[in-house]
Amino acid sequence: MNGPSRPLLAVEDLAVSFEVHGGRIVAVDGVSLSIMPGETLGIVGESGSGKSVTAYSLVGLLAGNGRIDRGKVQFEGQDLRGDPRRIESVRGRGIAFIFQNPRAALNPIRSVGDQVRDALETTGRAERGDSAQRALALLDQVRIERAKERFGAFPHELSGGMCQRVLIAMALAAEPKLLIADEPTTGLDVTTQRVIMDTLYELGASRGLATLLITHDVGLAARYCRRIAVMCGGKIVETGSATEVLERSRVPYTQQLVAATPRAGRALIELLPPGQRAPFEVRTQSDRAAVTNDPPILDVQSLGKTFHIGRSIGLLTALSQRFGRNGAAQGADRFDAVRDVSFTLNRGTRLGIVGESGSGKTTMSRMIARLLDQTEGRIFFDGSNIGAVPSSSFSRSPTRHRIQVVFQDPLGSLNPRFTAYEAILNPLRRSDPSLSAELQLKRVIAASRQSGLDPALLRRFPHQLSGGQQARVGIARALVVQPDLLILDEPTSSLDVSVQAVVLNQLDLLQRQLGLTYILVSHDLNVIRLMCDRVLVMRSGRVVESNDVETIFNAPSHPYTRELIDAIPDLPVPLMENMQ
Amino acid sequence: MRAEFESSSLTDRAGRALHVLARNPVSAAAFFFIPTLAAVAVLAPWIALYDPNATDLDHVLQGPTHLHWFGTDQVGRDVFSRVLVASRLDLAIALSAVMLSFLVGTVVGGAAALFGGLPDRLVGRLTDLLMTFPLFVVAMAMVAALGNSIQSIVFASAVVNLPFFARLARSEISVLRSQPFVEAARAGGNSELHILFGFMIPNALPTLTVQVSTGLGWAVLNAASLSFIGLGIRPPTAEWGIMVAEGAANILSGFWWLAIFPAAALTLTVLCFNLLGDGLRDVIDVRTRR
Repeated sequence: MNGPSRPLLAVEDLAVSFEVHGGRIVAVDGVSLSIMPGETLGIVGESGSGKSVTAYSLVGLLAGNGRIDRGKVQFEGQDLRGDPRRIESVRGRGIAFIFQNPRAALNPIRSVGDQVRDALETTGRAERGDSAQRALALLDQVRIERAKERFGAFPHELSGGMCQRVLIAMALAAEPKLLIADEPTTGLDVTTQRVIMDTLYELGASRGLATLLITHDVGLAARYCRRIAVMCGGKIVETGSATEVLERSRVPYTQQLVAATPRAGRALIELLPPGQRAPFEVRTQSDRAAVTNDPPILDVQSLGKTFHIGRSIGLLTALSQRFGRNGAAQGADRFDAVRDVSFTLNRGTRLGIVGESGSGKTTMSRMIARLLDQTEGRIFFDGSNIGAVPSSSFSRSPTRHRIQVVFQDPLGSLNPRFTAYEAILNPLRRSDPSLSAELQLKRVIAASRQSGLDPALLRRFPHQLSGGQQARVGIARALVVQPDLLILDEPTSSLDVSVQAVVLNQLDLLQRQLGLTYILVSHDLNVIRLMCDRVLVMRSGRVVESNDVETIFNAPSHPYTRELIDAIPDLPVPLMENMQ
Repeated sequence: MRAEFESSSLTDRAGRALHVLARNPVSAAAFFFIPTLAAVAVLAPWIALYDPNATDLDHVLQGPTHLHWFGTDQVGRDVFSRVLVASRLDLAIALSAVMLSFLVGTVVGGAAALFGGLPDRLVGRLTDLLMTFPLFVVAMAMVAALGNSIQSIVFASAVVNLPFFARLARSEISVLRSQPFVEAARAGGNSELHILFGFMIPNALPTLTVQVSTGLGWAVLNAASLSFIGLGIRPPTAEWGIMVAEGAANILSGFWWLAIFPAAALTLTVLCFNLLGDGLRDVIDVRTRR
């Protein structure tokens, strides 16, 4: 590409700090970068690396306690720093933003079409008369199907991916030269992510729009960016073309980050830097699918769950029934979250359940864990019909402690008023109230060691621990009662890749040491590929495909499975390189 | 060794409290005033210089002097001693009323949130119904109906405070119910009762404690207001509301000390309970710790 020689955006030696009680924290420390017109630059980094702060400080969107300490920011040759009026004239016009949580960024009480119109009118790109027409055209451009019907829809009536597209349309309304996308697809399903990113990429190419993509996902940056800047601790540690950075980097941090990102053809242990690998032999293919003749530990038979939506309105429902509307709306009030799922699980097997949001994977895992009652079907655990025990009284069942769960949100799933020690002790105390204090201490410490949690951290409260440490408390809490079946519900989805690498390896090690059977629920196919022997692919409450992990990934039989696998932003081949 | 791992030691908490107070001198003042007030109330009979009900017709309606710090009233009683002794009664009434509404309100509101359905609607509508009346009028009516006694003031204040606690407990528990850690507790084998008392109520306590503190302020004011209009406590008992009522009649004659000192005691107490509430929230809430 023969771009003009002057960069669209040039940042030199930018430093940003925040005031917190007890001093100032430096968030960005001497960042320099430049973006040419029409170019896509990816800033990759883990949480706390300063990548978002960098972007916000460019357009004067820092939080009240933040301040730019030094540096130069030039947009189209004009100095932006220290001139609030110029920043204001550029923000939303020359530089547009899209955010991580699309639904929160939209006004909930205004229709999406009107919000796009507002964006057009406030930036002076359209008059009142023709703004509706222009807004509709924009919604079309961001590939919102049936844009006319959705023009009047409110944000809560649209899916997350659809809301993000509306935000992109609003950003494009001003015909900006630079689009800053801060984690634009985090929290969206992989297939939605792909559509959004493709849309952004094509819009960038067709309009000559430069994009600054901020992401924690190396794979995503590799696929959509020509150049990548890697940030760590407030500094850019490396900048270069996508291939240079990802394949031939000499910077240890970049190497570690790239290595920690799960991808095809890599073993679990290779996610860790060589120095941190535990001294044990790499699992071979043969012991992966250990075949036993024992009866299965878990036998799920035509499990189903139906939610009744209108029920909570109570009085109104009762009234409407009284006035003869009885039954009229009943079909619409039903929602089948899980439909007719059957499978068996042998002891020591690692089952992955994969699906997008709303596929019913979490509902199913909660029913198996007896946290939710099924509407239909039976669940046999080690020969006994645990499905017959209602979830409300399952806490008294002797089987309770044999099935344990590691929850999705490491912080949220810990009682804020319990120290790590108390959190791990609690299930132990419930399973065996007669245990002596010394034994309790011994078992809690053993479980925390197994989970890779330093016992010195046991006195801390959840919010005093890092995300990875919180996840380990959650794992220790599940392990302390020595369960047979462990249900892992997106155990690493909120963790940085380097932490995820450590936690996944710990889980794998434990599984082999203790002969655990586990069910891993995840939307991340790369994690499933690393961690599981068998995979169930779910969609709209049904299992669409069930097979061993190699077959699923190498020869998927269902088109949906193929679509999922194709949507994974994988590392090896950047899209840009292909196109050249 | 084991104790080390359990919830924060006393020194830990004290350190946190000092940190919060150092940043917020107004709360700090309240923190020191309330215990002082409590101590004064307990020790009042010993601190008071005079018998609060002893008349001295030789020294009626004297302004503040070194002998009578707050002056004397129409029958020569020492106003300072009366203000001190009155704190006993007002605080005792407020404390028992608020404890009553706190206990009943938390149980009722918590149960409503836990069970949902009919109990929830019942509790919701009853609190709504109670709050449609001006609360002071409800309290007046109750004292008038139950008779002039300390018990009826306590009971009336408790009923008036009840909806606030019930609503607060209900909203807190229903938010907590959907927290992931409650589900995790269930998976850990905790029964519903364990979850309620071990997980939900401790997490709802910070908010409820704040309400207790502001509730105490209101209850003091409520008791004084009732006696101000002549309900409940009767003269010659030393009580702030009665003293203000009696003094107000004389304020135009220039005997300002009769009303000002009990009124100031009342204002300061109510203000401090409100400030205490704000400060407590910062100290108790473990989630805001850094």
